[in-house]
Amino acid sequence: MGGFTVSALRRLNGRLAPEPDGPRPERVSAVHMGAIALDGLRGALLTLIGVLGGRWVMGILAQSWPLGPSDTRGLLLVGGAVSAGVLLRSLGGYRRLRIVFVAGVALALVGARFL
Amino acid sequence: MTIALSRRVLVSAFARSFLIQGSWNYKTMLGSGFAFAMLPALRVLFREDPSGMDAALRRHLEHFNAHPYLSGVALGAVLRMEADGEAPEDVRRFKTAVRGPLGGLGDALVWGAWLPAVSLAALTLLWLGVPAWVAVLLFLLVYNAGHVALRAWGFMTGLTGGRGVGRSLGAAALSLWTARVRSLAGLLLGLFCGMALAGRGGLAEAGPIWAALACAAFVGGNLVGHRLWRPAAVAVVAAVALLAAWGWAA
Repeated sequence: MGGFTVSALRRLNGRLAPEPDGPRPERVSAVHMGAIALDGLRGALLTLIGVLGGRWVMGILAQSWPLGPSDTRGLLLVGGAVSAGVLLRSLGGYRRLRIVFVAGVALALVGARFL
Repeated sequence: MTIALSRRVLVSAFARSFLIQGSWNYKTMLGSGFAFAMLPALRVLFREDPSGMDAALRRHLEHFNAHPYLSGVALGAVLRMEADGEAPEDVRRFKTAVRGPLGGLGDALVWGAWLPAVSLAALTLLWLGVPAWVAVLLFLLVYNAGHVALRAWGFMTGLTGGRGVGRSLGAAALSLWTARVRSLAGLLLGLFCGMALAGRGGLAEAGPIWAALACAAFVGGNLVGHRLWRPAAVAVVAAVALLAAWGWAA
């Protein structure tokens, strides 16, 4: 929804943008501030829909969720692991960052063992 | 002829640069925002020349794009060029020349390094048991300290460098900073992954099957990259929906 609405807003901004043929400073400011106000409204509405929709979905899921807490966490961590792998690649990949990455993992493992 | 721009005008232009992306569109991209940020200076520079003002506004409304945080480099340099009375065609050529490098450098430094590094630091704190509001507050403070510093540095660099700002950008070695921040993000990602594996509430508690699946998913993500993100998100949502339906039927 965020992607769809931001694309729609950008298309609208393109239609409202002052034409370079005969611009007036007041119109440049008004259109720009209007676009920011619309984006703020978009953000507020999306947040409201997200919070209300999320609560509704969570209510439904909670009634029928068959997994225990540790399996649920496992499922979410598997999903998150994909993002972590993608992030490592976008940061330069394992080959380039292996020393710092392995150092971070080792630090966490030592911390988990002794702290 | 050079016209001196007052501190008030410069502060106003810099403040407006924070809103430069406010009317981003597919036609002129940052064009309208750039003209909006230029307005206070243009009003002073062309106070007694309405046709000059008209022409200046027209050329700054044209297509322009850059990373929003580094657009201040172009804004500062163009302010200087306009104040120095440089030829409109030179200003136009300068804007065309800098938009690619400013976009590439900014994307790599901010979206590709700074944002992931600070996000990972906040997530690590959260996993260590720091209250959520403290982690969020620290994220906002640290991220925006870098953000505002980069904008201020860019604007001042552009303003002092003018059309020769390329030399200042080269001397600043933004690519080197990007590599350093990426290394820091790599360390934090390793720390986060280690905690997800062995930390409290992590995969070690979820069981070996989940840990093996998570390791496979991590390796897959690292090998395939962004193309895997959408199918993985769909798979997780589908798994949640199927499990909920199964639980409902049972």
